[in-house]
Amino acid sequence: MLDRRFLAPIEALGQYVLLLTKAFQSLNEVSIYRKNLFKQMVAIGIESIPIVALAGLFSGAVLTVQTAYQLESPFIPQSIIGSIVVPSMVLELGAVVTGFILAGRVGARIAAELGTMRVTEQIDALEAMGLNSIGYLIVPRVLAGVFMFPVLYITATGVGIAGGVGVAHYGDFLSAGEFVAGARQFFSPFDPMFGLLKAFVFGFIITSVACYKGYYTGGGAEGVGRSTTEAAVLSCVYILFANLALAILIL
Amino acid sequence: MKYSDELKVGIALVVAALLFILGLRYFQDLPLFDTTDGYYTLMDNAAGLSAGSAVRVSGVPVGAVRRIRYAPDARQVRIDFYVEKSVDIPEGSHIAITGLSQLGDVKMDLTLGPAGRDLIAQGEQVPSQEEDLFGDLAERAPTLFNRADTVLVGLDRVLSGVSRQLEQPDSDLRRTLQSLEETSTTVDRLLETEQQRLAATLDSVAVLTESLNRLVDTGEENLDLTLEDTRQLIGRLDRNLDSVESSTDRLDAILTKVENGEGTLGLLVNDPTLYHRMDSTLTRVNTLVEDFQENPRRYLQELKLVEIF
Amino acid sequence: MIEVRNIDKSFGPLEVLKQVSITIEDEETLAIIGRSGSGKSVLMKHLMGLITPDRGEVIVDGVDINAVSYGELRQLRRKFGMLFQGGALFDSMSVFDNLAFPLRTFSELSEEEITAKVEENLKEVQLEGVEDKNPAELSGGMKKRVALARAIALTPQYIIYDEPTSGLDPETSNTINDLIRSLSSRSNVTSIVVTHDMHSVLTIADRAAFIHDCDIHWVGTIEEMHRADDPTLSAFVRASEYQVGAPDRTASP
Repeated sequence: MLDRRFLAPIEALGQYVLLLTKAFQSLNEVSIYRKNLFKQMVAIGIESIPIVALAGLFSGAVLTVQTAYQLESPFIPQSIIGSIVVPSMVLELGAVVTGFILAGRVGARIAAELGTMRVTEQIDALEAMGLNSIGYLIVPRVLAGVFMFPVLYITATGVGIAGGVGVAHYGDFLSAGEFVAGARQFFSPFDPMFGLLKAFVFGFIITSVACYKGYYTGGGAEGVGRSTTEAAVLSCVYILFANLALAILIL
Repeated sequence: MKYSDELKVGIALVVAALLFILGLRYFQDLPLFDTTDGYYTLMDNAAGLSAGSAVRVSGVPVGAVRRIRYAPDARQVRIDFYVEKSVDIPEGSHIAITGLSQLGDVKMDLTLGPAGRDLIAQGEQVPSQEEDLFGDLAERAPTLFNRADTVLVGLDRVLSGVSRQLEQPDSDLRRTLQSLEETSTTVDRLLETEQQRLAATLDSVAVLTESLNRLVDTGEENLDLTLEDTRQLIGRLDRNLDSVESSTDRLDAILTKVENGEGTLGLLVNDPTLYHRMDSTLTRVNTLVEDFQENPRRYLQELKLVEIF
Repeated sequence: MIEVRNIDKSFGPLEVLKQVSITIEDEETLAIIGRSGSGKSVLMKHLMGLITPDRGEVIVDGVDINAVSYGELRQLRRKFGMLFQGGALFDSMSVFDNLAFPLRTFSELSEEEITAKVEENLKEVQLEGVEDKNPAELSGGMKKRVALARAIALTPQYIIYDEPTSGLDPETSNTINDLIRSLSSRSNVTSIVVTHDMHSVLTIADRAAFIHDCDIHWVGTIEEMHRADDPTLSAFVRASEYQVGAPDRTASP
């Protein structure tokens, strides 16, 4: 039984890759998922904007206050706070905060949705009608993730920087002008590109893992619960790994 | 009114893309909507410069560095940069790296050639000027700082010695001080007369600069010669800096001697008025040092000017 | 005609089907009976390729459905209509959209024609005025009927019923049985009913296949079933309350 335990993750990886292969093969059947794609883009993307903006706002504000606290020294110009907060938001926090929040919000939602469809035989019903269930259910969700995550990343980062500037200005740490001057001093146009790339990757990871977990749910309501939890937790873990891998490979 | 999903998604994508592009331009210090022209330059060393560093004309940011890469065939660094469309770059313009990489504040200063000349076309090379005094000074700044530091420490030791000796009141010093006062009034008078002469000298310098300008405009071959001269001048300046270093060394030695109470200075130290003056001077030195610590960059800029003259 | 030839299927260590073969003739109504968990549903899902056998083949109208491409398989599945046990209505859509879904996806009908067709199908299953409701608002029997209306939307050649009467009260069960019988009596319709409800079997089926021990234990017509002296089958039939008295079979198959 021991070898089964070692083989199970590899088998799961194979199943995941096969599912994604089938999904990619269905990419050209646009008519199947076109309408669903926009529905999912609204559900995954537009409806996540408020929570992502809120999280971005607070992380930017907190980052500013804590950086100001750590750098309280007459030897360091205050504008350095801007030079630290902006790249931190752009490179790391914008993407990772978005990723974590959406692993919970979007990942769980997708897994629960597909899991319920699986255990109530709705997926079988689609297949029985002669419809490509992977093309109909999975492709639009993964595509929506890949398209909308960058939008959410930009939202989180933009609102986060605005929150940082706001707290700095009205909290009397440094003026908005100093903040921006500090940010400009060390700004590299590559940073936002890298953040955007992260957002693409995270969007793909969260939606594809959640689709995999949901699509292969078994065991009734309890199975749906298990898939939902696993989808959220695993997406978070994979985001952490992908984050490190991207940083090592690209930076 | 209910909007279709397609419309909502489309609006979100467009707004995000706009935000991204404008944010990118904003933090690069570029005009948000104006278009830009691209140029490049070749340099031996691009130390401290990075993509996004500002390009300035007369201290005003007008563009930014787009890309820096090593050009193997030219064995130089190729720096792509862009400036606002409204800035024309005539022939004879050149660009140089300025600022202190130690402070992360590296920029490019574009010096425009005389107006009226043909413009350098977009995408063409703008000549670079690398052997600039600023950069040289910037490299040297840390050693100078160290030296100043040791001098200040020595001074501190001397002053504490002086104050110790001041606590024993005696006479001789008064006379010395009186003569000192006389001397300073004489110096004052001298300076007044000198001032007029200085103004005259500065005038002639201005005339000289003007004629030099004319010279530059007329003959470009002469420019090479002048550049050669300048190089020699810099060499000499270099040597001068060395002698400054040795001078400070000697000053150090003298101060040590003073501290040990050798020479006349040791005897000079009995009048309390001197003590009071010293005290106020010290307070001012103190504020100066504090100010220096807070705004090192300002003094560095001053330092640059001093060095040029 | 559907031919099932020597199929084996196991899930992990659990063997479900072993060397199962059966032929389903055109226009007949076949009941697949057996205890819960005996593999009836698994066999049924093999018929339209929802489950792939470990060994053996399933041949629908001369085509081996596990040897063709996914696209061709999907084409083939459109010959089938399937009534799932729980209805399997899409709960993100209204009743109307559920019924219109196969028409919108696979037919060239205009929206007006689809509306007319949906109403017609709903009338067929004796439901009206539920178009705007959500599946969650419907009772079990109504869900089954809506699901049935959806299954027949594309006028399939084969209709498969998975436990059509399970979980329903006797009266509703009778309504469903009547519906199945009237649908089966249409020309060119082959019905496969998976059930453990003997009353249903006696009411609607021409033939019955009894699954026991991972295999088809017994196949025959309903008359033969009454006379069969197979002890396992007799035990199963006798366990049902409805074996006494001749079933009411007014309509001929």
